[in-house]
Amino acid sequence: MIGALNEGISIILAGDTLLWLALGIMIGIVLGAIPGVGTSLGMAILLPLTAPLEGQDAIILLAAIYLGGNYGGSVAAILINAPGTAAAAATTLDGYPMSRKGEASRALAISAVASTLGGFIGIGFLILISPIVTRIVLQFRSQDYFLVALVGILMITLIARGPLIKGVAVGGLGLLLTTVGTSPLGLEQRYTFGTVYLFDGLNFVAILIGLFAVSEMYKLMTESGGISKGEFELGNEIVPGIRDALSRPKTIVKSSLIGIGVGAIPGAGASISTFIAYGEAVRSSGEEFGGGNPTGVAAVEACNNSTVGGSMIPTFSFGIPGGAATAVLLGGMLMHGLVPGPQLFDADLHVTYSIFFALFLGNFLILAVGLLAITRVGIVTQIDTKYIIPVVLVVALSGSYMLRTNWVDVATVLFMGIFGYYLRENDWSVIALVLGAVLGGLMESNLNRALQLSDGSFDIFVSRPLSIALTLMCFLILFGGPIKRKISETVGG
Amino acid sequence: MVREYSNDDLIALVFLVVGALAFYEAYTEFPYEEGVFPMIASGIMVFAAAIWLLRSFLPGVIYSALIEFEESREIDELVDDASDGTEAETEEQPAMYKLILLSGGYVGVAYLIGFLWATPVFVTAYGLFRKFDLKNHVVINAIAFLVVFSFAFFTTVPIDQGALWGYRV
Repeated sequence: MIGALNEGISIILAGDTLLWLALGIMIGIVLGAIPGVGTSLGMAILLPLTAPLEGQDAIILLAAIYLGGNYGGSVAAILINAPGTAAAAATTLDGYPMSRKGEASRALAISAVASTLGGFIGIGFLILISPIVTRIVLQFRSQDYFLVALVGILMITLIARGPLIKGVAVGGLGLLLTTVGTSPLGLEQRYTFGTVYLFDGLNFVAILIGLFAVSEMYKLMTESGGISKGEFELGNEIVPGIRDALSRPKTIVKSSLIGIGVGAIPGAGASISTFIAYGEAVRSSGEEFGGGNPTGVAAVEACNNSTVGGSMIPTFSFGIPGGAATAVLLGGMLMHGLVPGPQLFDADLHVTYSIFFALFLGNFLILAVGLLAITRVGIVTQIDTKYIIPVVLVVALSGSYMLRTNWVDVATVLFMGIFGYYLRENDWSVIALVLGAVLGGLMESNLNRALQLSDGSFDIFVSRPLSIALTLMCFLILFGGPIKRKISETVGG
Repeated sequence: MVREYSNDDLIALVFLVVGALAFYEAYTEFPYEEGVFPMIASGIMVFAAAIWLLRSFLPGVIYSALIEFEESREIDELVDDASDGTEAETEEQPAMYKLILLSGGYVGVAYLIGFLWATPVFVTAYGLFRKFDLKNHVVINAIAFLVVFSFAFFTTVPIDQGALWGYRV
């Protein structure tokens, strides 16, 4: 292992590899920050252009775009409440309120430091334990994937706003939205009203853009001045931001481990892991969240970047991509003759380690760019919103058309913008809707597969130790709080 | 006693109706395997919306578990300006409706002539509505057009063409 690691490091330090790494991080940050474009689309566009590169350089370029994109998604989420990627949706919860208070640069600094630390922990952990994790991941079956998604959606009970039952209703709507279009099991058209435009269903990124970015622009229309309502001090906010992140080592380590664990499960990815990490931060801290709590930003951002490391495990080990971005990465690997499989952790371990080590170094670049350049972008929150609104709407609406060249996505953004505005105005949880919409597809396909394997019996969810553990975790999330309260009431007399 | 109904109740009613219709369609129209998940999702909606609408009749334990919530655990998904003590000047609510109309119009025009060419029309109309001076008209138009132009230039998405007219860049 040490020999392979040394060889991997020497590959990185030779030739132009570092240059491709830096370029990839920069491109990723920019693409990730543009709502609608996103990392996977940018990687797909650049994939053919990597043809003349050496195999490792091409994979490192693509992986660096993925890493940079995961960080970049949080920039727009913090500044204008428009998550550039699904992974950054949870960043809006506390990041944007910080911008509203005039602490945009501070939030961006927390994001840069927490992302970097999360990335270090994720990739470092990956280098050390990837052969073992590969064996653990092999233990997961369809019912376990379903249960992991269920853990994600049960986070509604921790992070949904207001009465639980309203969060459940909105979460149900989110799940229902994912069933629109052709069924994943057969050719049945569900809720398409006979129009071909709905055959491919609703895109969850379009739902995110509408619920966050567009609805926020409608809300800002009723105000004047900048997004920031507090005093904004550019230079003075960066050091406190760094301190905020560094003073929360427990949150960052815990969130990073959640990121690598959930990221390692094929099909899961950062959209689930970030909400789980955020929910865990809410559960364990006892502080108030949602009004601009730095712990919320640190938890999500650390988890976000460590998920990149985790998602490499199924991609490299079994050729199973965890999401769209890793699917493009997989395409790049195949294009350059790197066949995913056990040999990448055996004979070709040095190649794998060179990519992991490149990503490890990539986190230094994220830190440098994040602190030196991105924190300066916080000034955007001082610009009068009347100038920001048209630009964000243009990016959101035209960007949504870029998702699949389908006008349904544009209509989804517009409708969700209006719907999200009214939900928020009446204290219905938008986050619950997002969780349902992001996790519904994964839940349905794995639920159906599990039920097919068990001839329709739900016993399959308690048939193996791993499934029992995950089922218990679901019960704990649901009833842990009330049980704990009851016990403390009883003990306290 | 006359009970007052709020926007909450209206939203819950919409959820109940939509959920019930979706459940009925899944139950009657879809094969069982393909209808299970839609039935679960719509069932959750119907159940939760019905609980909300019937909350006055719930027993105390269930009411406190499902309806009441701890303020300290509440997640303010967005900071309300009124609650954080800042001095945001609020404008007329109708401005928001005008923006909704404008963005709907933008999508409509974009469908006909493509996003690239509809963008200056939208930004100019918005600028006239918000009384931009000439400099701001030009700057915001240039930024918005450049963003969409870069989409058109770097991708193959026909963002510069609509159903009626278009010009490839």
